[in-house]
Amino acid sequence: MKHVLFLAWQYLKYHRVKTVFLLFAISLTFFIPMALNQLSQKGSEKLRARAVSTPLLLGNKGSATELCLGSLYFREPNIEPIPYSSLEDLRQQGLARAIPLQLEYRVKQQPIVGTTQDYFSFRKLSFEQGRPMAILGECVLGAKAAQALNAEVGSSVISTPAGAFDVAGSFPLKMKVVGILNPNQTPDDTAVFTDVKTTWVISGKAHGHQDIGVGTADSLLLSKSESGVVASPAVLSYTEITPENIGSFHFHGNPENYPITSVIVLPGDKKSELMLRGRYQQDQGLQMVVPEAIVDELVDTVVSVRDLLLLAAISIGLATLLITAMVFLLSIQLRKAEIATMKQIGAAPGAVRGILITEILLVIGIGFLLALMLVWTIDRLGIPLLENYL
Amino acid sequence: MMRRSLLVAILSNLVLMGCRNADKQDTSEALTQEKASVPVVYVSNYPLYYFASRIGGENIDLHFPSAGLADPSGWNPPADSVAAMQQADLILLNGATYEGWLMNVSLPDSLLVDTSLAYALQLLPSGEVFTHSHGEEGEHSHEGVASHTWMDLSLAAAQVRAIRGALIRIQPAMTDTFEVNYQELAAELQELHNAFKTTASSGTSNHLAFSHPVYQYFQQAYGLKGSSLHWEPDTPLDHDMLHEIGHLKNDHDIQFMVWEGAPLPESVQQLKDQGIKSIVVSPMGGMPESGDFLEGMQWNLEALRQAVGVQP
Repeated sequence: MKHVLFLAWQYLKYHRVKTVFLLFAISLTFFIPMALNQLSQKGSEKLRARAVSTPLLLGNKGSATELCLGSLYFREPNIEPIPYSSLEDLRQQGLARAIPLQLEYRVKQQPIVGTTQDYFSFRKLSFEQGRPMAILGECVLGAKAAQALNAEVGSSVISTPAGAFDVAGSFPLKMKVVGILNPNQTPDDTAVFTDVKTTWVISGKAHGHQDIGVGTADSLLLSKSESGVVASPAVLSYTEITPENIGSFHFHGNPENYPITSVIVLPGDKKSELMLRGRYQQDQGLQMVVPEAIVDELVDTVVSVRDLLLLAAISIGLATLLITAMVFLLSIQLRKAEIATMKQIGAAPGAVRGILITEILLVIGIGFLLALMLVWTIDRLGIPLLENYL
Repeated sequence: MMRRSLLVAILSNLVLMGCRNADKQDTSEALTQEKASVPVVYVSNYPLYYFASRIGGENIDLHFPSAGLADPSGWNPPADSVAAMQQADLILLNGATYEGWLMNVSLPDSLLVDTSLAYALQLLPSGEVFTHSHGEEGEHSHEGVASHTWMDLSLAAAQVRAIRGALIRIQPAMTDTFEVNYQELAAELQELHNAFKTTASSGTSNHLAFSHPVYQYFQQAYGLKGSSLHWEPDTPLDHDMLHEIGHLKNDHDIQFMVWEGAPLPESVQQLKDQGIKSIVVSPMGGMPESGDFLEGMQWNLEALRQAVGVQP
C-alpha cells in the first residue's frame, strides 16, 4: 500500500501543472456551495440576532421592512418621521420603556443616531474611552466611526448638511466627541450617537444666536420697535454649542411635534407586548412591528435566493466532476504504454488499478481540504466584509 | 523559660492584632457595601431637596447640585454635573417648566421623575407672553407656565406624594420607613396650608404688589389679589420704577410690596414714603441661609399675616 501511495504521489508531482489545475477545479466545486451556505447562514444569524434583541419598533405607517432596516441597521430611513408626542403617549400607557431614534443625519458616511442614554444600556454598549454625552452638542462614536472619522475624545466632528440643494434644511453642527465605544460587531460600531435633542439642533428646530435685543449692531437688525426687533439674516446661528453659548440655545414650537424616526419599545412583559401590539394595530398613522418577524421574512427571501444559487453551484459542480472524470479517463488512455510497462516489470493488475485510484482519491481529497481551508478563511475574513453591507 | 513566655506573648498579640484587623476590615467592608446600596438621588430645587431628605433621610444619598444658586431654575449645568447625574438612581424634577436646562442636557428618561405630573392640568400661566417669528413662519406667541408650584402647599403635598412613590420604587425594602416619614411631613404641610388659608380668608383683601411673577400658585391657593412687577430686591429703585408703583398705588391702593428677598433699606424707605410697606415672602426655591422649608414658609405666613392685618 505504501508503494502504491508512493507511486501515485510521484506521478502527481511529476505532472504538477495538470494536478494543480485539477485541484483548483475540484476545490472550487466543493467551495462554492459550501461558502454560499456559510455566508448566507452567518448573515442570517447576524440579521436575526439584532432583530431578536429588539422586542418592538414603533414608527410611521408604511414599509415595515424600511422601518426595521433603518432602526436596526441605521440604513437611511425611507419612511416619514413621527412626532415625539408618539413616544410620550407610549410612555404614558405605562406598559413599556421607550427609546427614541432619530436617524436623518450623517457625519460623512457615518449615521448620526439621535437617542437617549437608555440606548447604551439597552444594547449593552461599553465605553473604551470617555463618557456618554451629557449636554447638547456632545457625541459618542462607535469604534469603526471613530476610525473612519479619525476622531478621538476631545476632538470634534461636523454633521453633513442634508444636500447641496437643501442648504437651509439642516445646520452643519460641530459636535464634541466625549466618548468612544468598544467594538461590538454590530451597526452600533459605525454610528455617531448623540442626544435626540442635538439632532433637533441640526434640523434647525432649536438654535442659538447672539442676543439681538441688547447692544446689537444696527447692521444686524432689519427693524426695531418697542414690541420687538427683526433680525437680519446676517445674525448667524451658532454652529457649535459651547458652555458660553449653550444658554442662548432655545427650541421653537412644541417639542412634542419634533420629529423622530422610530421608537424602540421594551415592554415590561409578554402581556404588555400583546396589549401594545393590539392597541397600535388599529392606529391610523403609526405601526408597531416585531422586528424578528420582519427580519425572518427577509431571511426567508435570502434563503430562497441561496437555495437557487446552491442549485446552480451544485449543477456546475457536477459538470466539473464529470469533466474531471473524463480527464482521468483520457489520462488512463494516454498512459496505456506506461501501464503496459508496469505490468511487464511485474506489477499485478490490482496494483496498477490501486495506483490509478489512489491518484484520483488524492486529487479529490486534497481538493476537498483546500475547499475547507477556503471556507474557513471566508468565515474569518468574509463575514466582517459582509457585515459592512448589512 | 523566660524566653518561651515572651515568645508566647508575642504570638498571642500577633493573633489578637490579626483578629482586630480582620474585624476592622469586615466593618469597613460592611460600611462600603451599605453606602453602595444607598440609592443616589438628585433634586433640582430646595423644596424637593427638603421633601426628599425628610422622607428618605439617611436611606438615600441626596444631591442638590444647584444649591449655590438663589434661583436654581436658572441653573446652567456643566457637563461634569450632568455626567454625575447620569449615574444616579433617581432625578427628582419640579416640572411645570421649572427646569429650563432640561432641554440642554442628556439624561436617561428612566431616571427622571416629574413631581408635578399629577396636577399637570392645574398648572397656571406665568403671565409672560413670548412673541417671535422666524423666516416665513410668521409671528406667533407662547405663553409661559408658572413654575413655583410648591408655593401652594396643597400642590407641594402632591409633590411629596410623588417623591414617596419614587423612593419606594427604587428602594422597596424601606417602604415602611418612607411611609412613616411621608405621613409626618404631609401632616405638617397640611397644617401649614390650613394656616395660610385661614390667615388669608380672615384678613382684609388688600391688593398686593409682588416684586416678581413667581407667586401665581401662592395667590391662587390663598386668594390673594395682586400685581406682579419685575424688580430685584438688591437693585435700587429708579424713577421709572417709582412711577410704576405710583400708578399701582393710585389704581389699587397698594399697601404692601411683597419681595422675594430682603430689599435694600433705601428701597424700603422710598416705598414707605409712598405709603407702601415692604414684606418678604420667600419663594424658597434656593437653599436658605438659615432654617428649613417649613420654617421659611412659617416666616412667609407671618409676613402674610402682616399684609392682611391678622394677629398671630
